[in-house]
Amino acid sequence: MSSNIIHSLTTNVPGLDLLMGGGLPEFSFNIIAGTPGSGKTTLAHQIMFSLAKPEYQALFFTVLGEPPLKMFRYQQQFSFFDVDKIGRSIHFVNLADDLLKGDYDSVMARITQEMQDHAPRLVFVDSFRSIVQAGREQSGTDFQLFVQRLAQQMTSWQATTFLIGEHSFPEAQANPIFTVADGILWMSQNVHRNSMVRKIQVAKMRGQAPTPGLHTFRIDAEGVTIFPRAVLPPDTTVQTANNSFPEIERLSMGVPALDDMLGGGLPSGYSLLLVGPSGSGKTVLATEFLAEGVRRGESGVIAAFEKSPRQMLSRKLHALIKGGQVGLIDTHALDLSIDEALHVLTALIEKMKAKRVVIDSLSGFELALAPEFREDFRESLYRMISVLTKLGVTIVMTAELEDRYTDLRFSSYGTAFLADAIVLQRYTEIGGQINRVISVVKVRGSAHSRDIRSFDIADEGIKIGPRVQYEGVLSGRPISSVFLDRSAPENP
Amino acid sequence: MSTSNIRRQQLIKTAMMKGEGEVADVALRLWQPLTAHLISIIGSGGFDALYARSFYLTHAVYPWMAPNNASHSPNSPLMDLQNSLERQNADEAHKASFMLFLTFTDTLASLIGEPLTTSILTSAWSDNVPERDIPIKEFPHE
Repeated sequence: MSSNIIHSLTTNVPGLDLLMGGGLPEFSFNIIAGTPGSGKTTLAHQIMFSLAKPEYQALFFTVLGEPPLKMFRYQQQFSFFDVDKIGRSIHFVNLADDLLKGDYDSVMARITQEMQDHAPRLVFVDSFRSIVQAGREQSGTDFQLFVQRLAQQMTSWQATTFLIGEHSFPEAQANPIFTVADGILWMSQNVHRNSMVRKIQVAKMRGQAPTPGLHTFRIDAEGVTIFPRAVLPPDTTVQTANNSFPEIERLSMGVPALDDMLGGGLPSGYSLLLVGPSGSGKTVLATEFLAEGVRRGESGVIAAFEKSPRQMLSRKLHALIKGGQVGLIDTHALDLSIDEALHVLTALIEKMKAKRVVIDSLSGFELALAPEFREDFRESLYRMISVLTKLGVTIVMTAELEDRYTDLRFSSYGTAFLADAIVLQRYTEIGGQINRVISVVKVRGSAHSRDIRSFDIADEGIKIGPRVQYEGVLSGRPISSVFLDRSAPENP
Repeated sequence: MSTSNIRRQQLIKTAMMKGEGEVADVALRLWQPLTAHLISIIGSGGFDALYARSFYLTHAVYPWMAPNNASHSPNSPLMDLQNSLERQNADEAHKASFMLFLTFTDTLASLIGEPLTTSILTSAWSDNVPERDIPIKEFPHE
């Protein structure tokens, strides 16, 4: 969409360029607006410190509002803040005294003077709201004229400009600066129950096609990191000439008997939901899946949302992670967004060139998400699985489900339909003992075993036994098939 | 205040030493560009608050340094300083002037950090202290 005339600048703010539709259009007149504490000044500084060079000067006007001393104090905490650039590539100018004189002409005269002195290519005004408020006593026409003149001035000086202000959406609609602006970035921090989630929206970016909607972002020691909402890439699957499906490669689960039950292993690129009650061996089975990959030279990634690594790591898994063949995502950060989780996962998958991914567990993942995202968990999970499988990885997800003997369920989220394959683990009482059973419920597009088989976890690994000779295992009232055969009434 | 950075101390000493004339004149010639430079960055409100605090702390050690409340011109704080210094002998005035610079920059450094404070000083005094006399090397224990 962008023409040759518009040169886009790379801001180096993770995720921002993608959000704006391919970078920051040079000489554009932009607004960063949002609620107090939403990260406007941090984003502005991050863009400025990234782009400013001796041959690409930046001018940062501070007005009333946050005292500059405090701004310097807090912004220096971020890794992007480079003291050496100040005075050489970046110049801070305080306009408070000019503004207190009370007319826009003196503010404009000062801005013009500084523009002439420094010939900046980047200009920031923080906060622009102060200028609006200071001019309240003047007529609206004066302010509109001032904004028009400022925008013209900046463009003719070939400067890319950012006005930073605390504005809320309703008041913004009536504000002339939002009409004049080429680009508008909205930043907010939304509180839902006890959690806080930061969001950003590119409401407008002339000449470019920004990614629509709200996107989550985080502020840490590195500054702002945006997690653009994952959008599914177009399906590029090419059907064969005779419309037949190509033969799909199968991956071994690391347990030969289970591979047999799945019809020859788990088809590559599938997502498998491993459902069972607490302690039924889901993580052990998922570890076997990863270990088998490593044996075959395929690296893997495990996202541990539930337990701390020390709790979770079996000796086997610990060795795989320590050996560098399996990457661990230990996400105990709260208030995650699905896109942040996906961002971390895809980055590690790409770094490790992983083929196998384990998400352990969906219950833990749901808890790690900020409450507002839990309401859309099914939709979030759908997007996550779709994006991951498009990367070509095969996924095993564990889900804890209490044994219920009055109904047959495969997940507590109604998400079973999202999985291409489902393996069910259960406890059952047989002969005065708690026994584990396993069965394959579904493998999309493939024949599979329908047996309910006993299984156990021994020192040497998972042992899958023969088909249980009982009926009613899933109802919690198993009766020996032998007994049933004997008690069956004989045909007359 | 014990946060003084040795490099900054050296810079202040060099600037005061390089200045020609009476202690009061030297102080004024150093305060004027520093004031202009800082007001441009942090505004007159920010500068006035910092200067008033530093003056108060220095006044506790050198009680003869007192603002003349009668004057209200924009340059009055610096004029008051000049008047106070002129009334003392050179040695005493030098010590007090040095302490005021040090206290002021200590306060600034405690808020915005040592590197940025030193950078502002260097920039403001670029005409007063030749580049070759600006201590460049950071001390290992800084």
